Amino acid sequence: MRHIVPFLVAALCIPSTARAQGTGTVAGRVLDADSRAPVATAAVRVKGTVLIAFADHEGRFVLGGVPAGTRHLSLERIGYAPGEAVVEVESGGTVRVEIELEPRAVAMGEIVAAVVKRSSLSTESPVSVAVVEEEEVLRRVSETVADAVAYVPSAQFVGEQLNIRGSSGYARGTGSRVLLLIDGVPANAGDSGAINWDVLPVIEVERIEVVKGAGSALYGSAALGGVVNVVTARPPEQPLTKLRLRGGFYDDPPFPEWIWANQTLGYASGELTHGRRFGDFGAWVQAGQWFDDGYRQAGNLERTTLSTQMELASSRDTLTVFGSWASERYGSALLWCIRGECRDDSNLAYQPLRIPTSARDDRTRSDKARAHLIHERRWSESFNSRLRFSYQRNDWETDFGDELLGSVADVFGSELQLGWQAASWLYLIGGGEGSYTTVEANLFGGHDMTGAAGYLQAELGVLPWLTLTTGARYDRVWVDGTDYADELSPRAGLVLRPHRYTRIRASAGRGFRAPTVAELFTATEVGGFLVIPNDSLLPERSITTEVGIRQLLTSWLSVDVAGFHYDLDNYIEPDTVATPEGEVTIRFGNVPSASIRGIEAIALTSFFRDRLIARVAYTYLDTEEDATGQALAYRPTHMVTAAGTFTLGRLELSADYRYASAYDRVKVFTNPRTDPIVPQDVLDLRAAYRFGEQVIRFTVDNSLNYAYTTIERNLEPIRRYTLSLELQF
Amino acid sequence: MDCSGGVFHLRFPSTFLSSKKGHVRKHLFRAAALVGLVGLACSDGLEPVPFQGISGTVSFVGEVPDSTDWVRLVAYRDLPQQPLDLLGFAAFSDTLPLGVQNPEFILGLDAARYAWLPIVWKRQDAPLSPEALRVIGWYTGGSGPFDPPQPIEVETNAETGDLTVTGDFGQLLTAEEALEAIR
Repeated sequence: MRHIVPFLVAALCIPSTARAQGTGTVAGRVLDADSRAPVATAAVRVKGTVLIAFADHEGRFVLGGVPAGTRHLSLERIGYAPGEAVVEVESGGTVRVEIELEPRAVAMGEIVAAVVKRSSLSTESPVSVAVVEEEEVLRRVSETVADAVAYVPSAQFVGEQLNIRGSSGYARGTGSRVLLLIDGVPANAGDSGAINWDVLPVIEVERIEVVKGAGSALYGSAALGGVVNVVTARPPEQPLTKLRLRGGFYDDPPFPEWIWANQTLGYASGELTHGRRFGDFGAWVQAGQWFDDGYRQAGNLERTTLSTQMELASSRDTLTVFGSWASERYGSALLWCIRGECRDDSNLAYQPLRIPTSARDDRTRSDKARAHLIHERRWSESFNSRLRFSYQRNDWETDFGDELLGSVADVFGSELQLGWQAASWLYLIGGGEGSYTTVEANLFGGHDMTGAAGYLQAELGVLPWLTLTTGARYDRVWVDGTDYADELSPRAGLVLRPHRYTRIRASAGRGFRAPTVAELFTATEVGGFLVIPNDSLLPERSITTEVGIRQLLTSWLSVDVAGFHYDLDNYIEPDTVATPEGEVTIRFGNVPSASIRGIEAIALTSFFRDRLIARVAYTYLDTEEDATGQALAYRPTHMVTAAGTFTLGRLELSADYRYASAYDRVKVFTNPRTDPIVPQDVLDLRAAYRFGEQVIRFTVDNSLNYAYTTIERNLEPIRRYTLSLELQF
Repeated sequence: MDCSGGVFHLRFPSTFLSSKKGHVRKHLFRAAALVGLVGLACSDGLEPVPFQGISGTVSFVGEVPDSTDWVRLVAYRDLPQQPLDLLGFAAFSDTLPLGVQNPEFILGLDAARYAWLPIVWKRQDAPLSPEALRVIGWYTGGSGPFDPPQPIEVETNAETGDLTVTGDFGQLLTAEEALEAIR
């Protein structure tokens, strides 16, 4: 305690001194030191304050409310060495400055918006955050946002369900503990809480932010295990048409006994966008079509997407309207076939590319639509607001031949967020959020869910080398008009800057997740087992703590190491239970308590004047159900990701490697002969050649043709070859 | 992937030994990283696994009762001595199709000797409990559904096939009656 008192005194005294001096404005431009080209999105921060601005496409920035006197500016942007500048700010005056940044692959941080609900630097975040830039999305020839997120350290897909640091496990996407945001607007499905990754056009993604750890203090339910924020591209300044064509084929399976098709199985897609501006108004429109034979029986898919973004901007107001629609038809191959379930099983215990004969005609139709409107207003240099309305519909139907299952879920959302730079050392964000969800489904019934929340967060630049963040969110949830849950989710964090190239972060927060309609009310039959509703299901809670350090060791090597711990209460998992009559059934229940702890280490390095850039990450996970001492299902103990890119003139060669150790435990099928559990071990190879703005890419995914699963009886994609053409005109 | 087969070959540049100290460190660093990745890339993935268990045909006799929920083949390693032992089964098959006179069955089993392979019938609209179950026959090596049970041997990575088991819907034995019959 005696150490804290002088700390608080300093915190209270220093800002008040600064505030007494009066303020001025810093306006400037950020340029590339080599090419003198503007550096868009560079972050310019006034040291010792929480003041931050971001360069626009011309590299220009304006910082208002800067305390008068000699001020040190620091500049950061991914791909550049950190920059600095000293300015003399006069009270009521404007000082102009031009700053050059040296290009460098290994630098400190990137811009993120999801951590504190406003643009900030990842290095200034009290929680771990990863950013996938547009170039990475393109390099991997990603079909959906999920393809790009799969390479983020500590992120792992279990089936279609995203796990960040082992948070989610697997329940066929139901009850995701990761919240998907599109430009800050929640986008999880209203019925099951699942993430529909195809709802967004990848061609218009600017960056993807992955926040690791509980985000409930700002985002409420579903953000228990992390947040993925997809930032879409703004309409271009000049008319721009982008065409992306992609085609390829699957290789033979690694063993001839598994061959099931007597023809080459291929896939093709095309995406076209056009964007332009007319004065203050700008827009882009996208259309896309996908065909895929699939690599296994009944794995074919057809997808059509349409989307648009419109923006009307003035000096004070920005009005953004986003809309997207995606329609899919695909085979519903749930499980591979075991001996006796399909013809031509070659007397093998299982056939991973075939599915049971009885399920071969099962098909799913899935239509998704969403729209949001965001109005941002800068009321003054220190006060801004953000008002949004959103709507999302998920409509799907699966035909199992003898049974038709389906659901229609509508989610209406709204939020008012206010940001106030109360002083150079204090930034406040507060707001209120409401949502209303209706679900009509033959396996859940008809239900509605209403949510209301308020939040407040303060960012305090108490000392030049210390920023504190603290806040809380209060959520209330009603199910079918009945009061269901109310939760307070506080969070506190700090960032220490003991050295220019060192950032130490620490955070502790509470997360919560209300069960989804699917978890509360599902009543159906799966694989011969009856799934029964559980309307006494309780919300789950967690306490998340994290300590981490990011250190730029040399001009060619940076490391980031974090330790994290989740304490989980009333964790919701599907489980088998016996009814009072003795019948074995499945239902979602609460696991009294469980814990997840781990370490994550990431190294980023570059060689040969940034021609070779490499990243290696390792994550160790230790999970435990307190009552049984067992590991949580579907969690690997070790995860490794490695990525390398070598650029030589117009040619770019890259590789991505992912490894996850075999799970200690799965939930449903445990026979080692028909349902073996193996590590995940995937190496993807890529090459690209540029002709000005045009790029041709060739990729070999799963180049080792390694056969593995992430959930029982579901083989992940085998080796495939893809040729992609990206044209801009 | 079989790493012992020399799928990966690390080739160091010819300048490796003669280069200056700093470059050697860099090369070593890269080589170590490569070796680490290659080591990880040696996981054993999925591979074809021969079926191990039993297969054959069930021969149904008599009218399928309207109250039928399902019928399955069940495997026991030892002959049950008392009703409670009935819960100690090794495995059971998928539901056998009832619209077919001679449906095929298949059942994956551990390599072992199995003493009793009964066909179990379950009553509709009743919870899964011994009271709702009846035995309608077992593997006897012949055609009689209730002759003395014949054991079968399942060998490693092998399928014991062409078994014929008769199930008689006209004789629904309770657990006690079935135990009495196999003694």
